[in-house]
Amino acid sequence: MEVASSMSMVMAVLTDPICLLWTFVGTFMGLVFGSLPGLTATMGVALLVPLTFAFPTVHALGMMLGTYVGGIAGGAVAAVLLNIPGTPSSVVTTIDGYPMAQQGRAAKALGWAATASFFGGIISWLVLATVAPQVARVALSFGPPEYAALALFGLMIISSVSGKSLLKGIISGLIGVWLSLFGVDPIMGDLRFTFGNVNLMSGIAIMPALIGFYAFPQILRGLSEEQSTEMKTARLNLSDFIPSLLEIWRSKLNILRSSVIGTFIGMVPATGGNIAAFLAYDQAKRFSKTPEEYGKGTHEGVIASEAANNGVTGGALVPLLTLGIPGDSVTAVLLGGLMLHGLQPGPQLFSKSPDIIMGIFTTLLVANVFMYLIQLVGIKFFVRVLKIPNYYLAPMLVILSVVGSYALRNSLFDVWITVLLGLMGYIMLRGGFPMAPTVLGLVLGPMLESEIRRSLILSAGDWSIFFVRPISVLFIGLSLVIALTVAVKSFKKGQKTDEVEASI
Amino acid sequence: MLKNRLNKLVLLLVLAAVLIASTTVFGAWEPRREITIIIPWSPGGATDIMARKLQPIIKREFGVNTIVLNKEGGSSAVGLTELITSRPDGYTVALASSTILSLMGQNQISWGSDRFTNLCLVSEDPMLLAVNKDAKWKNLDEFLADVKANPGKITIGTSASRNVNHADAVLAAQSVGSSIRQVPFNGGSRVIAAVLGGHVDALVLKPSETISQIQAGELRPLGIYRKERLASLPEVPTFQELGYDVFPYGPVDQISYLVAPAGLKKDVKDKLVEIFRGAMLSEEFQEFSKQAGFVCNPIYGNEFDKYIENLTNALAEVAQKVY
Repeated sequence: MEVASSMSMVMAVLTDPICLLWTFVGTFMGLVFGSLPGLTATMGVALLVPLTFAFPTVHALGMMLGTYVGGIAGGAVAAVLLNIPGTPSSVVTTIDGYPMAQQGRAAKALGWAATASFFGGIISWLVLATVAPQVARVALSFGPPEYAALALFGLMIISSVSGKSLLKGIISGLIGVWLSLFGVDPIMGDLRFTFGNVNLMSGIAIMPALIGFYAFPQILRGLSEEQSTEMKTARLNLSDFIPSLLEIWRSKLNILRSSVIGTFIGMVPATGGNIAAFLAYDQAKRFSKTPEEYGKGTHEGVIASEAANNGVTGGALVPLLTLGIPGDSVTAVLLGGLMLHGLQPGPQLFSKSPDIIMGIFTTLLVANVFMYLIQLVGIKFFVRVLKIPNYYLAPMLVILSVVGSYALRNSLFDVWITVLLGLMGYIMLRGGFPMAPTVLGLVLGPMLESEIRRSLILSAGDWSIFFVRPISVLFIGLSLVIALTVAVKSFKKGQKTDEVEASI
Repeated sequence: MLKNRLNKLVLLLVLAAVLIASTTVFGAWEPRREITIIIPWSPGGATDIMARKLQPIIKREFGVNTIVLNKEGGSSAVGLTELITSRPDGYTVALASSTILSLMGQNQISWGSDRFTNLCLVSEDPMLLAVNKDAKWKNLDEFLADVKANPGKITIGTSASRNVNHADAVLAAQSVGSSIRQVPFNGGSRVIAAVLGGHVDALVLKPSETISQIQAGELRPLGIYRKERLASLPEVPTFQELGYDVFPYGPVDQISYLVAPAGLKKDVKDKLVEIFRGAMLSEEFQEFSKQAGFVCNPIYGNEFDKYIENLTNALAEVAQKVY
């Protein structure tokens, strides 16, 4: 593709006010969808597929990509302000974002979330726009053994997100794994724990579980406790919440590392924003000079999570556009959208429709800029949520939770699942069990199980398949190192931890 | 003012009464409000896209509004359970597929196809067997000779277990009296990635899922599970023409078809068939089907009932003998 002709295609998009308008509307809609618990980026994009049917292709793509970027970034808003992940990928943002809000630094946390999302989006965009065809092959090197090893490594992160008690973290993780067992067996197709109910055949979906685990305890606690969060109600200046260049520079390694992790995980099909955020958070904590700050409200935790989950956006488009294989659930919907517009995403798209490719690149960049700008204006308004008294907020959350869990699959059954898991979550919260490991178990448990079984089918039952492949060996080795260090640490601190726990 | 409104109201009522009377007199049922199409799969999937593509055509050609309602879950059992429990008044239809017939054949759900009124065929998506472009097998004969020489060695990826893909993968090996190792994945795109990455030897997927990689030369299609060749992939031979019998129990086609709840009146059924067939036969939808890689030949009536009966029997037999 000649530079001159591609530049003219970029300019065609940038000088098309209608295209910019739809991209803006999409991004705004994405932010709204992302920030409301129960409505996700995937849903937003799916809604737009038929809606943008009559649009010119690039306009439709701009709107859908805007919704994607906005939806992933918007998840942080509810995560920080309410401790409820607005989308599955913002689970990790709650770990440090909500403590920051409790300390009166909600605006700052949101400022960092927006900034990190922006950097994650831009870095992944750079990868997509410059080296997509070259790096797409990397994603293909992931076969079942590599997925299994990645899942094992991911489960080790339980030790990073457990908070005070590792034991309770592990129990939470196992509860998540147990919940993931419901439904059709991923390999043989047998039914497990379905009690003859067709609704349970596809298992417990992540979103009802998230709403149950995060929103319900929050509602119940809101009803039983006085408002605990205090906010400075004075006017917010931009400098109060937008990190300065110096601050960004200090976190440059974290931003870069998390964005790259996000981009990479985005490229590996069938993973997604939440796995990326967990991995990035874990790495940020390990590389940090002050790991003890994590979980207590450090902006570094928010950066890691948000840079990684928005890094996924560009990354997930790499296999979609170069190989026709979607990188996550949102790009799977985008694939359908492209087909409805008469395009066949895949290796030939670059040569056959360079205008579409340039349109995607340009609108994705524009969407990232819009996402940042809208948030810069919006944060001032978002934080007012904190001033809403609990007796108004709790009923609003109940409505949102019920509507959200229903809307996912138009299923009343999911509402009951949400309520049941919500009660369970409240009991766990009261018992001091952290929620993040449960989510990790729910997401990675089935991945570990199905990929191990798949690998063993490939190797005809020979376990050595996991130890002869470099990527798999690397992840298994890292998992062992983590397990050993955690074991040694907790053995050393054994006495101390017992005392602390006894005092709680 | 008030009187004026009352007059208008009376006029409207009279008009409505005349309309209702005229339709009952002449017997033909006409949809008077929007028709809900239940899609038992997620938004953005192949089935969903078909319905979304049909929507504007139905509106334009017949002036009928439709609503697409995605009710995913349970390999389409959730959405179709919703359909069979809704009123057979012509305002609720659904896109069912071979998957539900397969589940019935395995007794995984508690009801049978007698709860449906079959309207018409929507798509036929014959499976195809493909390998990586760099694979050593250049054609179907070479591949199956290798399968025959190495029973249980060659791996074939499928998009799930106990579905048509699974059956077809096993049936290919059985046609040469051998066996393969079937590797089930969650969805077609992971299977493609596994074959492109060289982790799995071959795949059995629908052309609509693989056409992009085939056209780009990343995947090499070896054979089609169909009686005749596909118009969209004319150079790919069928198993049959090369002398491999992959349908010993009757054709196990991957289809999607339009259903309504059981007990639909004849005139309502005829009208729905007319509307949906009309839209499917439109140039726009036929063009879309070619590009997406599926066959749209909307047979209906007795011919279609017979077709579904054969397919149901074949799938039930496959469930017992293959899985």
